[in-house]
Amino acid sequence: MARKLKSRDSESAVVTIAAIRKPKAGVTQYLFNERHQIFTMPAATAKRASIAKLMKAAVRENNPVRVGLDPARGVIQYIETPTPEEIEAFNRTRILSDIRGTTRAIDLAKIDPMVFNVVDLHLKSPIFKLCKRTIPNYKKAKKIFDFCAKQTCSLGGPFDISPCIPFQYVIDGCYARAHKMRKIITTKYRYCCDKVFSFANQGNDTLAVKADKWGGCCVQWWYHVAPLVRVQFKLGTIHLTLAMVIDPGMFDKPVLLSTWLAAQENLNCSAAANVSTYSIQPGSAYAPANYQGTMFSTDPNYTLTDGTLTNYMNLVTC
Amino acid sequence: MTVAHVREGMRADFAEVLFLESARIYRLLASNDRFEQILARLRDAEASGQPVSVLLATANGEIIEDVE
Repeated sequence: MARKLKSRDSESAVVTIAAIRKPKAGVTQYLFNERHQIFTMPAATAKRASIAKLMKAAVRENNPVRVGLDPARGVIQYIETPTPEEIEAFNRTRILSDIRGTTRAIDLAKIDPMVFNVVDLHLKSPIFKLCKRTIPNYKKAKKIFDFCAKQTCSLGGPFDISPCIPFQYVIDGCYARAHKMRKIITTKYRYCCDKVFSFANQGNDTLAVKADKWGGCCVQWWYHVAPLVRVQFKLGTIHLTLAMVIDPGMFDKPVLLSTWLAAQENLNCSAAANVSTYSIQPGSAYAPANYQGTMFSTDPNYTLTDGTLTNYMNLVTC
Repeated sequence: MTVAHVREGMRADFAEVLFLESARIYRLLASNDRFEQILARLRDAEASGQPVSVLLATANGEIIEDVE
């Protein structure tokens, strides 16, 4: 039986302007951060001059605007200043550029895990400066992992949180699982929690994982996400902070970031298995907002999170 | 659902469709009677960023039957 998913068909949207291009020949082009398509303004558009002025001001002040778009013709029909409520709603669903993390291309065959996972050596992400309360040792990280893993819907309860976390539905929902775990890590344990996204967004790349914990089938994704925590280690007189990932859908314990990435290149599952890029983002990042993995949506009230967890709680993958 | 990317030409028997709202990889089968028409809609949706209503062949499945 077929299932219909949600529908939204409005041509009016609140957007931010990425650039205004004025070619030597031809019409002015308008590029929006939230759209792939390039738009122009027909010469016949009423109040064309005032619209252009509003656009320029929006670029200069980095303000969102409400636009009426005709994607079929690639033209802007109108532009308005959004209401304060619309601006607030828009800002809730995007990450501001001043706290955006870093997205990097990666060739896992060429990295040295002894260097790659060390927070102060390779992973000098500016967002790490936003939170200093890192996990003091591996034992504590394992305790946090075990608490999250115990909330799996597959155990049937009773659970310490609601809704339970459907780790068994590996094929989808990683964004909601990661966000729920982020809530646990930051509110129950009060440690810093960022997110790591992996992407298969070049050529025919795919992320391919063998779901050994859930029956052993292969699953493929175009992206994956999990909580990234910084854990302090003491090796003799040396103190290190390592980047570790909490992902009970894939592992039985916290793993190094490089281990987490490598597990998504299972060539036995797909010949095209390859992590193209990875991105370390603030914990507030919920899901990608573009294919390039450079913009992210948010879910500050965990409403999308809990909705997805509830929808997936009784589903299985293998 | 918002189309993140449409991958064509990798395989003759299907195109891969990626949505921002899901991590999984969906497929539009070439055997679908309206393959070209649906593919064109998906391409347009990717270019415009406009969400589309997706009809799946089975609940929680990966095969796209239609797009509105």
